[in-house]
Amino acid sequence: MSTATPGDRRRLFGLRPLWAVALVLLAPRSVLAAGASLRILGEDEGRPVWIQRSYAGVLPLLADSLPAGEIDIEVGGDPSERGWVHPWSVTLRPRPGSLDTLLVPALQVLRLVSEPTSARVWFEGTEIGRTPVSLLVPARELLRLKLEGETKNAVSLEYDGRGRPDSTLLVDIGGKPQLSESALTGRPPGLWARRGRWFFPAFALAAGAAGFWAGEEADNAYAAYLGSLDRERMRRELSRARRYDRLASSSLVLAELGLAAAVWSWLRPLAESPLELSPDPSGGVRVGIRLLPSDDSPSGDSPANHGGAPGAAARTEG
Amino acid sequence: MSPCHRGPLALALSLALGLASGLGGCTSREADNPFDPENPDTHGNPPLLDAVAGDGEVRVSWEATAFSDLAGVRLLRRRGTDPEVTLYQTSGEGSRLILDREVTNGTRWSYRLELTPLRGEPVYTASDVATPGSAEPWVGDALGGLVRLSPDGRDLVLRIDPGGSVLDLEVGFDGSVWAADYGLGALLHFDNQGQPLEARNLYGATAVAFDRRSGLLWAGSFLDQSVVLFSRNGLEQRRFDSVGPVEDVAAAPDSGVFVAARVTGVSRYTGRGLLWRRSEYSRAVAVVPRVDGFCWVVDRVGRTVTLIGPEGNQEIRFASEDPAGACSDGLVGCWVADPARRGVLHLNAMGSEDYFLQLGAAESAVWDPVGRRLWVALPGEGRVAVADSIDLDRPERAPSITSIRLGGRPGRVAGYWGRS
Repeated sequence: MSTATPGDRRRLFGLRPLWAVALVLLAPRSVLAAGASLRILGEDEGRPVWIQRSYAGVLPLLADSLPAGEIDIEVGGDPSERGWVHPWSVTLRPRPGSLDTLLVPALQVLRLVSEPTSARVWFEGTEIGRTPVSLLVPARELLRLKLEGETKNAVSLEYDGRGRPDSTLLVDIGGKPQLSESALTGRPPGLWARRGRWFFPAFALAAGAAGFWAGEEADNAYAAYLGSLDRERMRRELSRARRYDRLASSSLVLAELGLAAAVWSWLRPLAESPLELSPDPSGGVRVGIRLLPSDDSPSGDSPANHGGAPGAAARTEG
Repeated sequence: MSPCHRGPLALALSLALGLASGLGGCTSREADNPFDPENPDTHGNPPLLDAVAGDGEVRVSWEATAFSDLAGVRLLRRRGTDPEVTLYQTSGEGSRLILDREVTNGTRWSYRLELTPLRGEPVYTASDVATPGSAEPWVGDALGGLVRLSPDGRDLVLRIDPGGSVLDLEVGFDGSVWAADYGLGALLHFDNQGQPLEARNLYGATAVAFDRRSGLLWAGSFLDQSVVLFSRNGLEQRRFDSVGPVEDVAAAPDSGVFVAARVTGVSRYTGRGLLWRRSEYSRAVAVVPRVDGFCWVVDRVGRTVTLIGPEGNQEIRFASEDPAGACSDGLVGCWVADPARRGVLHLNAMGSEDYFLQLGAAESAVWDPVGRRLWVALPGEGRVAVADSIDLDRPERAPSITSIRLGGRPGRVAGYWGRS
């Protein structure tokens, strides 16, 4: 297998992208005589490429003398990025004696952070590590992720990164996803969530008013009881006063509970806002995420090519 | 809201409703209407009416202005077991003071109100009874001043609080009252309406006695250890020193006084000086002269009641548990208050106990010879009790006993017992 040297890479980096593509496309077949050859093209020029775990150069890339059978191709993060990024990968079976072309989709960095940390992460069915982790994902596809915490709580989510820059996701693994429904689906809040913010204060006010009114009625009835000499009226008024007292007490308790619920309904989004509004280091925000039912436990039947999303299909020529 | 949120919300709402209904049942109004049969204090018949006995009259007052549906008021009066009669009737007047002069002294009168509401059946107050009489009993409060009670001892007529500590009192033949105020160090003189007449300094005044024959006033001082004789016009006529810390002074039936003093015992003084002294008593706290010139001496530490003759010779000795005070029975016997036995016992002329009346921790007593009542001070309970209809010949017949709670420490009772 012959691969481009670091000097080639430097030279390629020095060329304008159009010239580089033209160079690869116009390469004579004689150059690719022995074994299989592969042209690896992509929008993100300059990304490092590994073939069969060996560094092969940077995009765009022409690799020849490839061995027969399946080969693993990995595209890594921008060398200028700090930290390790899980590469985008694909498995191909190039045909011997032919020149195939692999179009690498536009990639973006997706950083996954979880609470608690060290959650196992499945990307498109393949376990790729534990949080916090950064991985390269196709930027124009709907992706499926699954995170499983130490307590076996699993959170599945879809990430729609189309048109988005690099993103960071902070996912709560502690039983309930902390991301609000609106943040996860992009849809407006649910009926209860929408109405709760106003329903609970209104309920508290109404219950308080009812309690106050009932208390006044109870006082009036008790005053009438105390001021009466008619024993039948005494019984009636005292019974009425006690009835209104019960109503007043119940209403005031409900008002307090409604007040507590109102405070909760107003403060909950604020408590969740660090998740929803967590700034992305690259300036992006988390959008387009949807939780999947969390009862599907992580499975080991992962496909052979993790990252082999439909939109990242390899196209062969020859 | 997601389905997983509805379950806890429903649970929380259920709990809230349960809590609210539960707490709602915690509050309750008490049945405080005094005419409510469910009222635990009045059972529907409140003591809203007050009948205070006087001399030939009963002052009846009531306060029922808090009832908005009051349509009519009827004041009902009953004498003894006679049927009730309507004494007064009005419509819608909730407050009133009536002076009932259609009563006779010594008779027990019962009063109650019938209140008619705009609708429904009439309701009744509790009955209040009054036995008018000419007596004007006074009580000395060791923690305060003087209290005058109604003739039947059921009500407080007036209270005088000069700010001292009245340890003894005596009522003159005109109804005015002399008080030995130990705290103020003075003898105080009030008329029967409580108006101050005069005050005389007497440091450590503890005892006072009025000689009804001569109109002279004797007073003793515990701290000065002296006895002072005041003339009719209030001037200090004689002073006898070295008497000892005076505990009690009692006017002798002929002239002069018996003096009980700590350490020195019992002495007999006249206007001219000391006649005799007996000092064998551990702590003589009371002297009770008899009409025949003898005198009962109460020795609290020695736990005896001794009868001594006119010349000081000891005649009879009776042992009691804790004799604290005594009074004459109007004849030759005496009543002895014994707090340890929680009552008052009667000693006949021979010094034998022939009657015992259980009342409480009695410390002093006085006999009303006109109404034939025994007034007993219970300082530990802040009460004064009155025993009526005492029959010494039939001790098995329980007397009628009423009491009034005055508070403080009522120590001595004296009275103007009125016309016989």
